[in-house]
Amino acid sequence: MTDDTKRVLVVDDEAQITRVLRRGLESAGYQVRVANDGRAGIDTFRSWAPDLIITDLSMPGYDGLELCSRIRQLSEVPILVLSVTDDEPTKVKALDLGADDYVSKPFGMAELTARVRALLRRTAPPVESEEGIEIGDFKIDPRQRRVEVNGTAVHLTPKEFDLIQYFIANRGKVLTHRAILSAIWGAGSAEQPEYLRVFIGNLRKKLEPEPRAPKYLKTEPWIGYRFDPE
Amino acid sequence: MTPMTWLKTHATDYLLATLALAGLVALLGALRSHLNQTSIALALVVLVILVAVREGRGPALYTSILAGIAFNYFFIGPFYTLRIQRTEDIVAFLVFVLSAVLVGQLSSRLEKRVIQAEELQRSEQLKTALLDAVTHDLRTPLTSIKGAISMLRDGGLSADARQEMEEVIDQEADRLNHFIGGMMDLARLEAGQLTLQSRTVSADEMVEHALRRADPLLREHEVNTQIEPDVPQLRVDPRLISQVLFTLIENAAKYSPAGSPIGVTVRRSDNQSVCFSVSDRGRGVAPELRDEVFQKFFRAGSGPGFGVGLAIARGIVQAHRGRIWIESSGNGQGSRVQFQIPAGDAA
Repeated sequence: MTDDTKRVLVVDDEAQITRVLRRGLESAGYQVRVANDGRAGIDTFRSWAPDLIITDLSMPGYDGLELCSRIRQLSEVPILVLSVTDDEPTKVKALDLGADDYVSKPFGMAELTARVRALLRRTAPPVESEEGIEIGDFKIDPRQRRVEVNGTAVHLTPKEFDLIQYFIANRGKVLTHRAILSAIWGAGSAEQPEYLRVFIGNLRKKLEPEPRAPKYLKTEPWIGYRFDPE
Repeated sequence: MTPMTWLKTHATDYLLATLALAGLVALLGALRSHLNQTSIALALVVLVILVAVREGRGPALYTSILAGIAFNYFFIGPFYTLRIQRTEDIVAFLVFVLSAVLVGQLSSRLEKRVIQAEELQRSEQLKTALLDAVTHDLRTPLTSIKGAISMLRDGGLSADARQEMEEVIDQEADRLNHFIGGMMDLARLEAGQLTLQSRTVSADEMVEHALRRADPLLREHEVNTQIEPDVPQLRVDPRLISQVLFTLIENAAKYSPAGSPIGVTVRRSDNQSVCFSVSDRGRGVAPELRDEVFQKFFRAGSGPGFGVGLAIARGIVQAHRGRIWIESSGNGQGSRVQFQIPAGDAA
């Protein structure tokens, strides 16, 4: 299946927004279906098997947060949530419930379609060889616990290696502080983001050509981090 | 405030406090053989606290002093005089008066603080609700407009798509304008600046006007209109009453499933007033929310809400000396919003 025929399910109760999204995504070459609330979203998901879901967060009845957690019980399909700016707690909640990325309203179509492309790219399988997995500028060998960036070997501490492995497995996704902390240090550390900041700083010094303007390990203000391997 | 008006507003507070004290003293007097002086003093202090919480500082001070005198007169020997012989009784009397005054003043101050805190919390809640409403009702149309414009700017759209995006921008701009108009109406209503431009008008005319305005929303609904023949002419502001009807019909269309019927009825409710009602087969409104939906910026759950529409409707109905209410079983049986207004001089 090529990118042109990827299926995108849009879940939003605002008719005008769905009109714009449908036109925009169709002219970007995607097949689009629209559901007006979470329940209808799940039904369409089951019957149509979309490659990506775009959902609004506030809808009557069965909202976007509930949709995220229900979809995650069924599938790993990428979910992009539409949220309002300045509502960080809801964004974090959506991400922790399984959403992969968010776009803040109001947004332009170019930004939205770029996020859609990035998320769809993530689901493409990485190249695997004898020496490990190659993703973008990164080559990682889990058995030897070795990492190469653009052909240069980088020496990482065991925790830093766990962190980069986690980022690579979740490339393109927005990862909340809580999600990263509990994945690497266990659920008990979930409330200590300052811990993480130190490790991210060190990782950037080792991986980034310019640690002050990170290319791979980007900060999502007040939310967490996003890893982009290319 | 002149002494006379002060007396009028506060006389009942002091009278009630005096009566309550007299009652308590009579009761304590009847039971005195079973009570010691301390229990009597405590019972009197409890009364002072109650007065402080209910009526405030002034009545509390008054009750403390009166209770001190009564305590001395009835319960400190020699009885039925204001004289006190024993030193320990003098101390008991002073301690009583002092604690009654102190406790009374502190309790009334505490009560005042609690009320202030509650008011503050309410205004904070309103502020949050206002922000949510602005976020939702302004950003949603802005999102459609921005999305549509970004597509038009990027070019490469078919003529069909272009036209659709232009339509979206046009309609969403109208929606923003409508929202701002609603906020202005609400501000005017709250400031009491809404002047009714009343004239004699028939209910039919206003219902018809509201239905015509709501026509684009009603394409997927069947509307049953029933206007009883004995409904009198009304003397009201027809633009505003038709605005109320429009809001109710708009809500009915928005919150009930496509294809379901909407009923609009008008009947004479008694000799002087007329009752309008709009019913739908939607989800209904839970009993505990039936008053809240008329609060401005109320939203049920996280979904789109009534915003300011029903708050404005209530303001308009009240400006006509009428009332508005919801009847609904709240579990998918639909709801019926009714308002009753006096027919005015025209009846």
